[in-house]
Amino acid sequence: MEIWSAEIRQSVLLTVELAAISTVILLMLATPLAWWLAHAKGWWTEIIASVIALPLVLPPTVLGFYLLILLGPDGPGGWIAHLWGGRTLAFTFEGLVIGSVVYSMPFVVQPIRNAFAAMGERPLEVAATLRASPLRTFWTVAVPLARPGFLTGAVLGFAHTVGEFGLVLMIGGNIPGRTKVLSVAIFDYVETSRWREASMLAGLMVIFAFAVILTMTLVDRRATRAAT
Amino acid sequence: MRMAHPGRINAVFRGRLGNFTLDAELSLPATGVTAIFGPSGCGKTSVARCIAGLQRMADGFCAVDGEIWQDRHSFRPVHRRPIGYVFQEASLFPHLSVRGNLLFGAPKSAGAQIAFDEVVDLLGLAALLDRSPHRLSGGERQRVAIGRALLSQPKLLLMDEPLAALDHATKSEILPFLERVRDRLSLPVFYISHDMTEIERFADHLVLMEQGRVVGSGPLPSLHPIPLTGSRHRHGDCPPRRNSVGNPTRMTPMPIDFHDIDPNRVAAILYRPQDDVDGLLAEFAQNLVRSGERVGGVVQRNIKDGSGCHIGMEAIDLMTGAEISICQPLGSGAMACKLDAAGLAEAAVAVTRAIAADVDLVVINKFSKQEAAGEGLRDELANAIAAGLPVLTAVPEKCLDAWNDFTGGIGTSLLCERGAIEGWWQDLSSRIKRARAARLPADAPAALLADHHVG
Repeated sequence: MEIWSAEIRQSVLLTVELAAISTVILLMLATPLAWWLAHAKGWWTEIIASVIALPLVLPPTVLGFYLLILLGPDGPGGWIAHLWGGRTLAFTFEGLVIGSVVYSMPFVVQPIRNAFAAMGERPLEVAATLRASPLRTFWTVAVPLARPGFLTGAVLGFAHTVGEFGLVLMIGGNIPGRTKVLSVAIFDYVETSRWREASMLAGLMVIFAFAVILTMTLVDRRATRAAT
Repeated sequence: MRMAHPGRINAVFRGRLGNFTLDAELSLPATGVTAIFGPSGCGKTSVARCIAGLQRMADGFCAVDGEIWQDRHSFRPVHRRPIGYVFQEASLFPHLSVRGNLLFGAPKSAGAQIAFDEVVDLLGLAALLDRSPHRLSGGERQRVAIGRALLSQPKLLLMDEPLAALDHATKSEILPFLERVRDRLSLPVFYISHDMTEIERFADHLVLMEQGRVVGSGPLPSLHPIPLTGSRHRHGDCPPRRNSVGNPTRMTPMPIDFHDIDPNRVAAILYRPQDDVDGLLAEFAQNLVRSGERVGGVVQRNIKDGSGCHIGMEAIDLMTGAEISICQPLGSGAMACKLDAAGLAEAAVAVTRAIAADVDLVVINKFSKQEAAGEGLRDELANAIAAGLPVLTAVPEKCLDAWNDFTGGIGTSLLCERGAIEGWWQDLSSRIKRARAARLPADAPAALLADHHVG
């Protein structure tokens, strides 16, 4: 099919790759963060939670602007890039991953935090009375019990990374094969009046969004059924 | 107290928990079943949680069988304490099967003291092993929770009201399993409950708690007939009470033993209306008389028809069994009534007869406002005290002031504090029933009462 051009294939693959890597990193960072937020009791807890939730409210361009400064040659991102001989993290795939992680963090932290909070202290206490160390309790009790939260968090994190636009444009630009993800590609096609490609990609996104919402609903329903 | 002794559990926990102050000291044998009993909110659960290490008191000490779990400098975390803990709700892990739950805390290495098959057999779990917890009944869940705790090879099993969340039928389904656990595994058990019948059936040792404090502890009599020798002599061991005469009112901490029925004063059990202590006391006194005890006095009780409805009241002279018939309805309905002047006169005769016969105990089961307002039996009470006979009665809390006025010159020892009465009383009366069932040659109320010894 001629419409499934190398160009489109490239941006689809890039998007999936970006979303997958971001989701893995998100889960690794969000899990301890959510655990801490669910169990810490100090007043500062909600301050940290609010900072994490900022991307929910901030326009992606604002976030992108600050990230651009941070990742650019004069920011900390520049120094990190020097480690492997780069000049900057802006307009690179690595930069996009960092941006996506920051942007999608609240969508992953929140459901996991809720799941940890919902199970209460009791299962953890039971595990402790059964000689399980805190680490073993975490892996064999807390994580399995919070599985619906993890699923929701992962799906939301993945979906938001796929769907982000403003932030990607700010810090990633539009470099085919490196930073040109689907949402940017659609914008690009529309700008250059390539309606066929644009409508195909847009349709693809609609189907994807539908699948995500359906999955979430099913996960939710399964979780409530398991709880009763 | 703050010492580690092999074979004993010593614990001290002091501090605030929310708006509640815990100030508990325990020194108990690390064998058998120890029941912690008290009204809800008295700190029973907090004590168990402190022993388990689930709660940490800044001022705490805990040593079990010679090992220090908590002192000023150290605090052993929960997962390093060899305990089993059964919560009120089974709290099974929903993501594991019954088998997975049972094996969660079981050591991987073979040669465990409490074997998997043994526990499955003991608790009747064989048919449930591959089920998921949400497909179990409440009683089955609690059995799995008990098995899970046992398989973690505890050196101390803490059970926090494990039956409280279950209905009556399920309770009686589980109790036999608990008894089997107790009888087959020689494991010290802390059993928290506010149900004296469970404790009666199950425990060897009793700790009474009230408002965050341990107010008494001591062994419970075993189910075997109470040895008659050795019970009586305690009465003689009793050191003379100081300040027995003079202070009109004295509170006696729980639990009470027979020595607390001070012959120098009228012993009054304070009770709340819903406690029906007067009814229990009537039953108790009549049972004692039936079993041949030398008990005299008057009891008033409600008469119920076959379906349990109150249809009136009767008053009985305990020594003769004769009904003091003159009973007058009071105010609304026939439920409440009191002895009128003639009835009081008959009651006075009954008490005088008891004094003349030099009985072991005078019981007047009820002293309400109406009786206290008149002259009532004051002279007779004073006579009994003067003759050195112990007098036991019950006074509703709301009548305490009137009672104090009434007995001002005689002196009262208030036997019970609010909240603790029910269990103590159930304990006494059920022990009497059991003694009767065992056809124990009746000796004296002292034998029954004195055995409830304060440790």
